[in-house]
Amino acid sequence: MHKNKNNGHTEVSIFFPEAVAKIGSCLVRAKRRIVTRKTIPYLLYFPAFIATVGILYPFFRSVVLSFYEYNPTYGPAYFIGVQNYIDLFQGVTSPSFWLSLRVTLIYAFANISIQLILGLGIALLLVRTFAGYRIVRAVVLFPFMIPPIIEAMMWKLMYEPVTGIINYIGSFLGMPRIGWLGDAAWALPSVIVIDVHNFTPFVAIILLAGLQSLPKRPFEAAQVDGASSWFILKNLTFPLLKPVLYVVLLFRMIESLIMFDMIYAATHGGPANATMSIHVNAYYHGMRWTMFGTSFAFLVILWAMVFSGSFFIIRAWRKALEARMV
Amino acid sequence: MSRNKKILYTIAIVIVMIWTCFPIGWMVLTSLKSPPDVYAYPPKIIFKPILDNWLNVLLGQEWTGTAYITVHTDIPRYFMNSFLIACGATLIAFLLGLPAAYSLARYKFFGKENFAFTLLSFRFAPGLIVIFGIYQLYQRTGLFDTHFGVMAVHQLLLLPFVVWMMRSYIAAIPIDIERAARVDGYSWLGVFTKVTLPLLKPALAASAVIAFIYSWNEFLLGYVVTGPNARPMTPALLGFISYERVLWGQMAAAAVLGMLPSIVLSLFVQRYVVAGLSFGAVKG
Repeated sequence: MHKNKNNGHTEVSIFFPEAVAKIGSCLVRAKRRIVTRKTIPYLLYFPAFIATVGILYPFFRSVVLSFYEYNPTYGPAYFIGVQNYIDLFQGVTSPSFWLSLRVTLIYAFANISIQLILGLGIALLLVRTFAGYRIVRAVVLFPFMIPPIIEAMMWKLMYEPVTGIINYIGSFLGMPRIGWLGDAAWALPSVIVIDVHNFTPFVAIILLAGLQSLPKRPFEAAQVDGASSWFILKNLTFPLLKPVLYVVLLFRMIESLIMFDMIYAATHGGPANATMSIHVNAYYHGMRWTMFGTSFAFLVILWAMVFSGSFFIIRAWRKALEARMV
Repeated sequence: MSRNKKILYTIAIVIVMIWTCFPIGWMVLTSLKSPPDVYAYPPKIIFKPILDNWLNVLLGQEWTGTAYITVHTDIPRYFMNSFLIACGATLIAFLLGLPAAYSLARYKFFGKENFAFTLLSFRFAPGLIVIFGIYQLYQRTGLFDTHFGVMAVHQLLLLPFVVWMMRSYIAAIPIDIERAARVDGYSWLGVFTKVTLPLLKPALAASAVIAFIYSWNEFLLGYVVTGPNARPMTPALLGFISYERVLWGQMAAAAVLGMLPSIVLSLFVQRYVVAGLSFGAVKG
């Protein structure tokens, strides 16, 4: 590949002798330089480009197949227009799309709001220095480094209905014994707690970095003026932190909308579909029941949700960045 | 700070630490318990620690009460799979991604920002939408259930990360340094290997470690494209909780083993972790 390109360009330079002549006596070096300047960025990008195509191809194939009735168990795919999407919106798939949408949105909304508040709180705690603060900062990040699937196992152990530690602690607080992940009413909140444990460190550590990069001057001035710490937080910290908050929001929104590992490992989408998010639902339709057309329709909608959400957050982020520059 | 405030502050830190560490510590404790201790109610915090679960998971030695018998364990093999896959995937991501990052950071070319954004947008995609097509392709080409196959699909995660991280770090190196080296007579490649690369070394090492962690922690992609042969650690661990009766002790030992590499490695990249986790959007 490489060799061909070079040969090609040797020929090109013969076609444009004046360009070669301009550079001077050392023809070989000059030719090489022209080749470098024009093509090097493409040559360097080429391997990554091939990989990109390798990923985009199956993606577009999935998008196209979402307009097909495609169930390899029964025969080849045939085109049915938007029928898969109509099925979804009419709620005739089982488990239904609307149920999954509800689970996904509750999951994402609860995760984002709890994690942003907790994360900001932890970041504000850790921004001060105290004895051993470095160790605390390192340890606080630990849960984020644990694979979501192991997080789910960890919490399953503690949620265990009969001998689990959480019900044991709850018994001191007068709580009845709860099935947690096995109880349709409690399963979704229980999974959200796992997600909060897993990903709040991410929010906290990024916001901590944001807090540390804030200019010192305004804060000193506010303290001299005797402003309350709530006033400083609301009118100074929060607006200045906005760009970083948007970055965190973006990552958490994307990841909680497309979260699969943790939900699947904790509950397999059950009990009674209480945690059947869109992604898990698509997994069942595709991998279990080979209804790929329907599965792809689910995934395309999920993708569109993530994409449009990201679009708005990125726009707000850019605006906040510009506002801070001024 | 007043005295009262200081006490409140300390209490808050302690609560955060307990919230962070308790679940992890509880699993480590469980991995050291004998079955009766695991199922004891009320749960035991003080017990006689034993290594049986670890022996079972790591060496396949089970204590029957009178002697050790050899049982089958796949965990060491899955651990090695994960290790090979994470190393290979990181290597591939850098082979493909580093030149691309350099190109994006240093040159203007047609469609540059589109390329960069396309890569980033892989982050938005639910894994399944890409992996089903790859799954069928793998079934046909024989890449299904091979280590290389998993390394390749992990590029969905690692390549955007490496390109965006390294792009921001390369862009932070003043181009004048490279120009000066060019004037001194270094070739283009010479400039890169003798000037740019040494300056990038710390960022390169940190990114490699974080890429390794990403690959190690990944579940869905590896789960779909592997069978029993090349299965990484994370999908394999799922086997422990799909059984009717869960072997909590052994599960805990295997799970601790599965999360150890990521946690230990994260300690080495503390300084870079913020930039690494936000794709360079926030500098630590």
